[in-house]
Amino acid sequence: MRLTHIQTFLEARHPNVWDLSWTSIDGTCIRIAKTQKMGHGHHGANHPVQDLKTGVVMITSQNHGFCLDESQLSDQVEVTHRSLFDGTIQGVRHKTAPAFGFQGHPEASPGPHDVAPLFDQFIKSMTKRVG
Amino acid sequence: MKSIGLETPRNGIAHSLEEAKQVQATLGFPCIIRPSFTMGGSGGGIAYNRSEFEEICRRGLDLSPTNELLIDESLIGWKEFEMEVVRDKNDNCIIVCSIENLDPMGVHTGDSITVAPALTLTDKEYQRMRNASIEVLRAIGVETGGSNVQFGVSPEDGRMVVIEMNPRVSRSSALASKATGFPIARIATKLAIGYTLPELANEITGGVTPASFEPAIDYIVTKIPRFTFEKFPEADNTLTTQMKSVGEVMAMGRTFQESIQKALRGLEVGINGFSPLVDLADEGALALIQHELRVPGAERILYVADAFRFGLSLSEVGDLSSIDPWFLAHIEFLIEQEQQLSGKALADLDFDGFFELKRQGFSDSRMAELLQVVEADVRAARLELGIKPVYKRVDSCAAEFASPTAYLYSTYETVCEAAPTSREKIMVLGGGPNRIGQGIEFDYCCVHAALAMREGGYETIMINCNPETVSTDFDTSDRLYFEPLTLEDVLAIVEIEQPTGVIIQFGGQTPLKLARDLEAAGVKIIGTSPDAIDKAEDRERFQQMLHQLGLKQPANRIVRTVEEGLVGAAEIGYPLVVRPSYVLGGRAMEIVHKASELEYYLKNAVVVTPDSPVLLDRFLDLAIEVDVDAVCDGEQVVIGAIMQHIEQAGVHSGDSACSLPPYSLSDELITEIEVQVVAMAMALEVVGLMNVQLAVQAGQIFVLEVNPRASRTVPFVSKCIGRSLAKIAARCMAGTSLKDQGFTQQIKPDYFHVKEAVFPFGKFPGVDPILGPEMKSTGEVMGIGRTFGEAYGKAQLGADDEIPAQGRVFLSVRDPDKDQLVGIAKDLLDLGFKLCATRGTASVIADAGLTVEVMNKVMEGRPNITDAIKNNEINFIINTTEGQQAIKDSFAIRRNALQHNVCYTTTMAGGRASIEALRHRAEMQVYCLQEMHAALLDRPGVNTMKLGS
Repeated sequence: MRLTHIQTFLEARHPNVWDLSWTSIDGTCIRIAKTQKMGHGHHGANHPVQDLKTGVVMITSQNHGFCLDESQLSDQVEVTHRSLFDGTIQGVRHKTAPAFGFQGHPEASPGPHDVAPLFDQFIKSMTKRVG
Repeated sequence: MKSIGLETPRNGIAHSLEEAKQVQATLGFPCIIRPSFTMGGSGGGIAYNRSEFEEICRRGLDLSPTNELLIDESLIGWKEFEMEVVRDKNDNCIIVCSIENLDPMGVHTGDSITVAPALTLTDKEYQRMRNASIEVLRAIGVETGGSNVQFGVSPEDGRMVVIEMNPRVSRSSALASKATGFPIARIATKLAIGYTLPELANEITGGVTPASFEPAIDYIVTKIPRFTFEKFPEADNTLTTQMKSVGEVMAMGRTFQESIQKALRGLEVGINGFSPLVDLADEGALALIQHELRVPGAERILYVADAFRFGLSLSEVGDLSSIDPWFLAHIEFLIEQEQQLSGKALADLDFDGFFELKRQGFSDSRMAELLQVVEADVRAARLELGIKPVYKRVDSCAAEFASPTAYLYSTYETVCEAAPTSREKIMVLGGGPNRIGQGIEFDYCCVHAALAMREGGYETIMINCNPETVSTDFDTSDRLYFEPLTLEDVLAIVEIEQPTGVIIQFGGQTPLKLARDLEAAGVKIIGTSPDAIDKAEDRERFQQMLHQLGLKQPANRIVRTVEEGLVGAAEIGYPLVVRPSYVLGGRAMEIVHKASELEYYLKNAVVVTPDSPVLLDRFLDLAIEVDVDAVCDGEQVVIGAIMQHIEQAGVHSGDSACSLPPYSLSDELITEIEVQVVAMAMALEVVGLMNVQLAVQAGQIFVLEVNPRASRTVPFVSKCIGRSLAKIAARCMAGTSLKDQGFTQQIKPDYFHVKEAVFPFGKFPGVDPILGPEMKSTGEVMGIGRTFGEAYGKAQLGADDEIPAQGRVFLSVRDPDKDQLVGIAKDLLDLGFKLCATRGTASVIADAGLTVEVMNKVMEGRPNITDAIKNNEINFIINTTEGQQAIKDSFAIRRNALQHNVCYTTTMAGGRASIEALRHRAEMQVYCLQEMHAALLDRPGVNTMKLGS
């Protein structure tokens, strides 16, 4: 999926899931935030990520060396998840469009399946859009 | 489990033998029987046929407090896994550790060799298991805390079933905590009082990460159980679903090969790796190996190695043992390495070859055996090549974050993370795996030594390999090396740390055995010198010392041949206590009553040779045994306590109940004992702890044994007197005098304290629960009272051996005990008991004009005493016996009593103490230990240092 497509989808209010590690590379395009290089990045299958709304901690697979720069965060999105290792942004949601992003490997292969509900969430928003 | 889509083994519950048979009919054979609510699977087993089935069910129904049996379809040969899960009140779940059993299903997990993390699962299989274990916690309703979920996986089709879940911390969670550095019990406690995982810090990384994560480990952990079947020769040593091990060793390495070889040498059972057991040239070798692979025993892993030496293929070994081929391939590889090495000379090894072998976990001593040189030569050659271990940190995060915690293990790589400091350091050598005769008492001493040294401003370093202990908690000492306690491993740590002093007298025989070699290597051992230790342990030198001090010893001889033994025995007279020299826990110690028994012992029980002499001591019949713990700083000796044993001399001190203070010794005797102990401590130049065992016979004191080291009773004494003897002794060793510590006189408590031993007989069907000179107990309890009787009664209650208040007493005593019999019989009648006795015993009682019923012995026809026990007609048994035949004849009485939970004693002294307890039954009260200690310290003349210090 190209970035231009994301923008089109967003404008059309199509449901969208972003992988933050690559959308953020060119964050300016959709204006989530600028990215910054991390110290040694996130690598491993044991990273705790907290859902800020529910407080629930998910153990996730991660493999990235950049994260969103908090100070440059677009006001179109809100932060939904954070890393408990270093507090960096792990998830954002578009405030008006049915779109969200996750900074890890929700497909988790290899890795734990704690993030699987994100797929349910995406399927739900697609069903809603179609239905 | 069904509701969450998980499978369990087909099974059923039974409350009677009839119900059990019905369940069995639906499951077939073999099937697994487990009584409900017994610890360690006590009383369970695997039945392959009807008669085994009925026997196990009967025993299980008896043992289960709810008379309930769980009968499962057999999953023998399946792969077995455990997941250690922690959950908080917000439903945050983490897997602290996955554990894989090398021994497939059928062997209790406590008796299995286990590895962490799980090694033979794919990610998909592992994640399925992870999800399932979390679902299990939710379904069972574990709101917060740690749980353990066990799975079986079929090696045929991958079918996964939930075997068991324990909604509590378990043996495995202790192991998982040590394996990962994640303290499960501590975290679970905090979760229980309302914290959540993200609110708690991961302590091992210094709190930079939260507890809500899954530990990542970049090493392999191996646990091997330690067994003590040699203590219970009648016991069936097949491993089943009933746990039989008494301790365990854990090791860490960067590869499975290194990890398991380190664990094997840490076991301290005389092996230093995959040492061979079978003589391959023997014509029965193959049959023996095949049998040992098929029927799991304590040493199966060594038979696996022998199978490869014999030339069996990997698939043959796999078919026989059901062990996963992944593990077998590594062992096969190690045996190939051994075979290649044994053809070489030490000088042939270049840096790369040598380094590779060390990476594979080969110890210097195993290499020495294979190269047919001595260990010192291998070490010298290794150091010549510049090959030394490096140390890696257990940090719970595979080095993702820097860890300030020095929890270390060795390996052979290039980067060392030890980062030793330049502080003044004291190193404490721990006790290795628990075994009968050397258990947590010694760990208590090591921990207290470390605490005292830390308080004294030293950096403390602990070396130990026992995951069940407090000494191997990463915060007990400043630095923890989780390493085997062998000369090679200890010397390597000494070299990197350069400690100011090394303490070896607190860990039992394990570190003591290294004393001479460590000293020779220039290691500074503090406290009593290795030479003084030798003086106390070497019979001839010790005898000389006693002679100079004018102290008595039972008549004795050291013999080096069978003939010498028989001549010596005739000179000093029977009965005799016989034992090999240099043992702890009375290993192979026996009492012999005549020449034929002695001859049998010297030829069969132990092999007497000029290099391994046997000690003969005149047995002091009907003597009172006394234990004394003392501490000495080189200038002054302070007695910690004098303890009087309840059981007479001849019962191992570790198995005997004892009373502090003595309950029937005269003041003159006590004073004389004190004088003798002080004289011996000064003569041995003890610095630290000393334990003395004495026997009092007809007012005469005989010295049985002196050990200038921490003893099994040090924790007990410390609890009675309110001061930690181990801490005081450690300070003495570091140079602080007793005077400076304010510990200059014996503290004599006002209360009686009774220590009683706890036995594992229930776990070993077929074993005679009689007490003797070989130690068999695996634990102890303590009772406190205003009177001896109250304290003894409470101790029995604590040992789960309540003395009945009324009913029928069965008496059967040996001839020498008959003069005490009438007194005991009269007391029992006064307490309202009815008496029955075997013919000989009954006639003595009847002659004294007392009422007694005659009961048939087992050999005398039916109904006999065992029928009465089975019919619940007997409430208390006093059964003393001597001589091999009489012991054999009365075996059924003791075994039945044990099985039917009838209180019994095998000594007259135990009988008298029980009567005392019954007399004071009404007085039983709860006392506050802290208040008692405070009262002791308030006395004039006692320096009031901090309680417990």
